[in-house]
Amino acid sequence: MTAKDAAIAVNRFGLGARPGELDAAAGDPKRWLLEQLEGPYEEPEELKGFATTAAHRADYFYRYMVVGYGLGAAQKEAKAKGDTAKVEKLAADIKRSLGGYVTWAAENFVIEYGARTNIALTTDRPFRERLVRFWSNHLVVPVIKQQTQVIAGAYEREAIRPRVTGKFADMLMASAKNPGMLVFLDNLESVGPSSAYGKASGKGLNENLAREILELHTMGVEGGYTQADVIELAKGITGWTTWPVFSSMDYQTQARRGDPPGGFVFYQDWHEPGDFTVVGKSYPAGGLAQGEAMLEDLARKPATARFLATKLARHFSADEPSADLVKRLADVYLAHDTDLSEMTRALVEADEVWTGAQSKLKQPEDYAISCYRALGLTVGGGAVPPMPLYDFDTYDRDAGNWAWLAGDPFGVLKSRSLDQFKGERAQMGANIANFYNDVKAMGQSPWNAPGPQGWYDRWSDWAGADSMLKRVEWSLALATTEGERAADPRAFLDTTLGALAPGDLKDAVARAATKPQGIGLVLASPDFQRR
Amino acid sequence: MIITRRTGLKSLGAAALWTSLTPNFALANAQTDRRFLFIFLRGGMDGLSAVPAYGEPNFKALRGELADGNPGEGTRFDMLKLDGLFALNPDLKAMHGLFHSGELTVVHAACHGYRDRSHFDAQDAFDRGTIDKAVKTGWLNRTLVSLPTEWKTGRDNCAMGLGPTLPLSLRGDAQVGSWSPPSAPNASPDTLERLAALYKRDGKLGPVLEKGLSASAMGNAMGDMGMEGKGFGSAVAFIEYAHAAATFLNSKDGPRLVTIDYGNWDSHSDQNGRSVPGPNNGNYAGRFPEFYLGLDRGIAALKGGLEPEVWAKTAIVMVTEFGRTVRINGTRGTDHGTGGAAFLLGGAVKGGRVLADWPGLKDGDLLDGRDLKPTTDLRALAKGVLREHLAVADATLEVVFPGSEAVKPLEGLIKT
Repeated sequence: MTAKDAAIAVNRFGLGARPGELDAAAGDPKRWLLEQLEGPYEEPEELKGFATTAAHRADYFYRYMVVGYGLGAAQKEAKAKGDTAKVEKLAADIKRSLGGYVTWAAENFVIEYGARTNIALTTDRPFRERLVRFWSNHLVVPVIKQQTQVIAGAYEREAIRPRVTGKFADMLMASAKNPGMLVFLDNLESVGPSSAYGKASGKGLNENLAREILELHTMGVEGGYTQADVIELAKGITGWTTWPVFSSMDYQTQARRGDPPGGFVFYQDWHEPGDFTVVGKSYPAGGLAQGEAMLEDLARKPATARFLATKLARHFSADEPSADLVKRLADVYLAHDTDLSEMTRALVEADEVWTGAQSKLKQPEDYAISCYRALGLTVGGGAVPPMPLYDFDTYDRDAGNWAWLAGDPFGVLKSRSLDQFKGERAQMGANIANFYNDVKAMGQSPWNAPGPQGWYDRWSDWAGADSMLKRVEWSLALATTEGERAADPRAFLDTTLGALAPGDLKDAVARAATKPQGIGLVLASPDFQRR
Repeated sequence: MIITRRTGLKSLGAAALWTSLTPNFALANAQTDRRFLFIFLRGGMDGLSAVPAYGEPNFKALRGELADGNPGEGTRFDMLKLDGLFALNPDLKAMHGLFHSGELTVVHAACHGYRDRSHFDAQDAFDRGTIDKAVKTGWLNRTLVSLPTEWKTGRDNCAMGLGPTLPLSLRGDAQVGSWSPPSAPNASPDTLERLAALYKRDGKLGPVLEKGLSASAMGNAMGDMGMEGKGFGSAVAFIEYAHAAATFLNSKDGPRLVTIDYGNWDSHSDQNGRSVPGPNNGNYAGRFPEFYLGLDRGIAALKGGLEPEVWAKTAIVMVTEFGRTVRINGTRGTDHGTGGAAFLLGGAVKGGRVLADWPGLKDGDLLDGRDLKPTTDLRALAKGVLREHLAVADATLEVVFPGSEAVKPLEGLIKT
């Protein structure tokens, strides 16, 4: 092992060196990486206290449908009685509840994005954090939809983050059952047309999640499945939903009010009856277990192994990874029953990833993070306090659909003050939002991949002229404001790029006219763009 | 997010470190004066929502609440009549005007050569110009390579992608520019000069940054780009990029070929956004009415922003990767399908027509019992426009769209 291997470990596998990190990796760079895969999952401090997907769903439902509909009905009644004062008060309450929610959802997103970013900026297990981001991008829930904006973070916390060193089969199942994925790919409203509820309501299939499970989550578009497989898998996972769902609210408020709100539920009477065949195997008619068996098998297909191995190798090794490396990773994956820890270990042990240094271009968000790490910066400075959520348990479910509103329905509005974003917290929110928008201007809106395929991962996907200009301008501006406080530029180069720094960059940094200029040349250099 | 206008580089001339921007005003001739704008509506725009076939007897039965009423009846989905069979989406008012002034052609029941309903494969196939994944360059880049040198000389960016990332269609051997609104303050020219020396040795990143700087300098030189940014959302972004495209295309020595991506058209649920009560004046915040409005306002911005003599030389092709299922799905939306609608518009276009070898919507008419059967290959549209508008030779069309010999270019698309 050489100094160059240490630099490869922190740059190619990690998120770029923080001060001192190259030294930590120098003793045994492979060991430094492999140790990050060990030990049980522990939730980072930064993420403690954020709401679950179920709580977010319940809250969303409460805000939009119960308060919206309920207050609307009360308003109508007041109008009929000619009570104009009450009509006006209710109008203000509706506006506060619904308008406030949209604002709060955006703020919640910013706050949780800040917490997640601060983990990346400060962690001493950056390889593990890269894996979280890699698998979160593979089974992605972006914030494209209003309903996913508030739960994309919770989805990643629940379905992805704890499982990056576990079995892929478990991660796939957790993802497909998570409200985040069910909402994003529309399965929450997919009803078997021949099911009891389908026949009564006329509601039908939505094949979106089933298609993307086959095309993007498991076998890959060339994995050998057909349109018929998509339909059969879609039928197999009908009834995988969350309570409540807007469009069938009457049904649910009447029949399902005892279910725990917001989380995953399986509705047998939404489930399409019958045996279904997916990729050559028949799955006998049944309930939840029918779809579960389909996913368990899809996770273990050789095509899935190849698809995942190719993506992992492409992410860490090269745009076009060697067929040999892909085969080795796929074999390990299958031999160890979809164990991601073993597959990742095989990746670190592969000779290919330690040669061909600097062949990958950092994606914009990783680039920005590596610049911040090099300077020892965080966004927002300090722990990000979680957002208080309305306590759904006080919702009196047994009091009928709307009768509970007669109590103190507006207490909930007071409990969530939007004033918390004043003062210091407003400044913190602005810092996070600025970081987000800067990365977005480089061509990547964090947590908002353009669709269920996630971010692409080749050089040509990121090396646009405008994107490169934005990176350079941004890092030079960052060095202007932060460079004076940084280390001597020559030492800065040694502790970030280390042995990967070419001679002309060393010379240019040594000759820099000012300290910020020297720091800027390091961060904006082509060598810092690569990994 | 307020985007401030860049002023620094202009006066400092920093871009001259990289490349010469010397304008060449002796260039203009009939052919090199033509403008071509390619707009890709990514995500699969529902062709039967953009251009409803209201005259089909079972259209309303198939589309349910996505298509109530007839043109002019004042229903919620109050379509804009084109002819006895087709109408436009109620929110496409400016485009409706262009149709009736003979500057917009609708192509319907159309699709590219790809059939498997994956967004990403379909988009890539379109961008490459072929379903063959061994082809690594884009069809517009290969078009550029083939164009005569007088088309390219004297222009620093003969082609530009608007947006922070370059679409695959523009990637390849010909160097092209890209542009998005500035977001960071200007760097000092001295630092840029030192950095330039470092990038010169990087064979991959050096030319890329050089293009970025020259596009940025061109943006400066033209002053206000109409991009006083106001927030998120691809509909808003599209309108803003349409303004920018008009500015770039108006420039004498600016690009002749420009692309805009307009994404997020994937409408699996609540497609009309008008069926579930909630906030926003009683309408659930569905995004698809807003998307059509964005499309229409962007087109209006182009028509209004291009100088009349430039508009007269402009052809705009607007496509999506596939249409969507004919029947409404279980969640008031539509799933991935095949045949859909495309648009050809601009002052150079012989418009006012719907080009469709209409396959019908009866059960036996549908592809796989679910999709609008594609009867026109969108490569025929693209080939026809390249041939008539940019004088691309027939042999070159086969390089641009490999393996498409059987797909004959559409004829009579452009005014002579």
